[in-house]
Amino acid sequence: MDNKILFVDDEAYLLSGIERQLRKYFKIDTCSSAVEALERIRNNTYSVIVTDYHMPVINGVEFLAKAKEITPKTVRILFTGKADLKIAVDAVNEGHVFKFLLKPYSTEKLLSVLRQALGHFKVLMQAEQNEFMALHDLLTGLPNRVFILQKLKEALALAKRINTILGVLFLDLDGFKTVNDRYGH
Amino acid sequence: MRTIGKIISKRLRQTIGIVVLLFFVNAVPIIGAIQPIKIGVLANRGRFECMQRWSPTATYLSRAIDGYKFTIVPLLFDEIEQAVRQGKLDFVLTNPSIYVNLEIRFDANRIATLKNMRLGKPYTEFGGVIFYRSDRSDIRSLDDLRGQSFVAVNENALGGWQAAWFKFKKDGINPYEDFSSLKFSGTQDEAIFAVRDGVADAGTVRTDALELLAETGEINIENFKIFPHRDHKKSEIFPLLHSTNLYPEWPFARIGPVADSLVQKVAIALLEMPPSSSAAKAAKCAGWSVPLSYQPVRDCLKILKIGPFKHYGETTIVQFILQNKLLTVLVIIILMIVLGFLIGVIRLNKRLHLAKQKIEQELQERKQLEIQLGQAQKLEAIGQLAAGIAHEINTPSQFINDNLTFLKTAFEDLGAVVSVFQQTKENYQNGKNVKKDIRKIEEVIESSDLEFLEEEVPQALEQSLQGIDRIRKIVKAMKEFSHPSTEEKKLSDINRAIENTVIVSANEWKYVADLKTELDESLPLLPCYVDEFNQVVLNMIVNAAHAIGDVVGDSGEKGTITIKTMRNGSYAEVRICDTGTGIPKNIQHRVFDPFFTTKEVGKGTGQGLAISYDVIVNKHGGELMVESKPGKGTTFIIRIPMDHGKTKEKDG
Repeated sequence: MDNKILFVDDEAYLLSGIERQLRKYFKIDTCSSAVEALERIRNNTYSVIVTDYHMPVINGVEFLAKAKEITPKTVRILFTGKADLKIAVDAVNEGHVFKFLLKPYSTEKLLSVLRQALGHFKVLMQAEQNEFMALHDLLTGLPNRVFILQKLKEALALAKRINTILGVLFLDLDGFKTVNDRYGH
Repeated sequence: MRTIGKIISKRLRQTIGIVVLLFFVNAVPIIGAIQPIKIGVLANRGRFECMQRWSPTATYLSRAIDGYKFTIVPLLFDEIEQAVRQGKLDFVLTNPSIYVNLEIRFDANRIATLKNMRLGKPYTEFGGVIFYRSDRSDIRSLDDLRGQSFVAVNENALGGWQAAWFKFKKDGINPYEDFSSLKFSGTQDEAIFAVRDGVADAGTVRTDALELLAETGEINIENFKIFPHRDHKKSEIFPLLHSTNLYPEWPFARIGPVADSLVQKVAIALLEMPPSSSAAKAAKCAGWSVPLSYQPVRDCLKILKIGPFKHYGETTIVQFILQNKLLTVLVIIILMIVLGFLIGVIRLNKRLHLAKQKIEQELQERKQLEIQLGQAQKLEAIGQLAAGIAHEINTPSQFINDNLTFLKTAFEDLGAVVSVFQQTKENYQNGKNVKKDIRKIEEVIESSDLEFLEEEVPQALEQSLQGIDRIRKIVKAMKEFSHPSTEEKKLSDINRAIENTVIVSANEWKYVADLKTELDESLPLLPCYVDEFNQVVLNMIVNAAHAIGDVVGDSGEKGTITIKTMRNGSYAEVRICDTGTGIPKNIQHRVFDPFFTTKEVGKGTGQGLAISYDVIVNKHGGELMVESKPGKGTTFIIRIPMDHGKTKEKDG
């Protein structure tokens, strides 16, 4: 989660140009093949993915659709030198892109888009974190009372609907005070 | 009205005649019942002379025939015919040519011919004499008169002109054209004087005119020569000088509806007129003879086409129609049929012409459409390529932009390094302690990532240059590919054309296939319409890419397109092979048909290969073939003749 950006384009020179230009501002990874890029996504975490549309084997929209399955929260951007309506529609509907960039773009434009994307990613992450914090114990990271009550409510409603018996197993963990005394409060 | 009047007056006269006859039979003749008889006489020398000459004859006839009072009506040349037409005359005494006219047109009937008294001898015939001065040794024959001036008496005079004219005509001379001048003196004597005085080179007068004048002593006949008439038999009978045929003297003729008995009486009276009578003397004649034949006069007038024969030989249409009624009707029917046919033909022709015009116009429109279609195809291809080309151009321009931005910041960083070095150098020169500066240098090198710059800047420059070169190549290929059409073929390098087409179409194939070219550089320049050739190659490449696309799909594999050029006999051959789907055997023969396509709607018009075929076979006189193995791939073979002359022939 350190704001890494992945650029995918079949044009190696374009990637090296981007790398040179942005290395001062962002952490950049580049990849000249969509297939290879998917591999990278599985093994690394990226805040933003920027991809070309026209690439051999898999086009940009297809790639983004697959990327979304792997890392749904990563922000997706498509940039292309050949834009038609079909590509734009596909990019929004299937690639779920955050932004759509036309080549050639200015450096300022790219920087601004990337910053927005990172900001967006941050917001997404924040929201996820907030939700987690609300339902888990800060100290142990285990689900808290709110979470249990929520789950219990759901379970009761389900049992009622399908007319079955619900069993609740309540475990009490003894001697937790020592832990609390040392790490908590 | 006039005709009715005429009929009435005739009736009246007849009635009177009958009344007179009754008187003769039944009673003593009564003086008051004498019937007037009018004799029209040609006053060729004036009315007075005419009356003087012929009144005694009228008196003689009145005396000789009881019950009739004969009077002379003197008439000038142009009055006679009118007088006759009005029925004013009973008899007529005139010259032979006028008589012939009246005979033909008014049924005049001669009853006696004048016996003219000349030099104490009677003559019933006369003619013309053509004469010239005896000192004119240059004149030997009638032919010598051509170009000379000529004088005659009167155009209407038989002896004084027409007889001579007839002779000239028979000798092939046209007096009205061949003489330098032709004049009419009016009188015989004046004509003779004109020749005597040299006013005219030659002349003609009536027979006896020369002798008469010589008798008066005014001329010496020895001073004149004449062209003698060759009819020797007649010459013996006719002793007067003469050069022409002889014609009968003036006739006395019945013209009106005069009773035959009276005509008989008049004829007898005239024949019995003694030469010694006062009437004969006044008339300067020796009395009258039985009527002669006027056929010679007729012949003469006929040939000269004068008088009643003015239009002789010119058959009028009306005459012809009347004479050939059946033929005329037939001719008219045939004419009408021909006319109808002609109108039909003309109409048909007009329709044909219109149809032809329409077809020509349509042909023109078709040609225009073909040109437009070709243009549209070209535009479509360019349009289709445009997006791909835009991508091809945009990508390098993007990384050139990125590199330049990088170089800009790199330069700034380097500038910072340089300025620190500068400062250090200055401090060192000023003898300051530079230990602090050295540390600064270390810091700035660290922060500017000098090592990275050293490595990346040359690469950025190199890649940018390459990018610019790529753009340049694409633009150039694009320009050459879409070269404007030319009217005539131009010698072109088809290898270059193929390379250009490969470049501009790169976006169409590069995601599905690798493209290899094996071009025979020894190929000569070929006469061709290079823009249309490009179009064909583009079609082939795009088709190949589609065929390969259908095979590789999303597999990530790539097919191969191979373009080869080579010599094949007198042809330059281009082979475009792909590793695509191939064409099923059953439709291979249809691929060049217009509108034949297996592509889905919107992807192909079915025109590409049809147009390619037209371009290669019809416009270049070449060949276009396809070899295909379903599942393995397809090869299109283009052959273009290398011989310039041959193509022209085929093209023409």
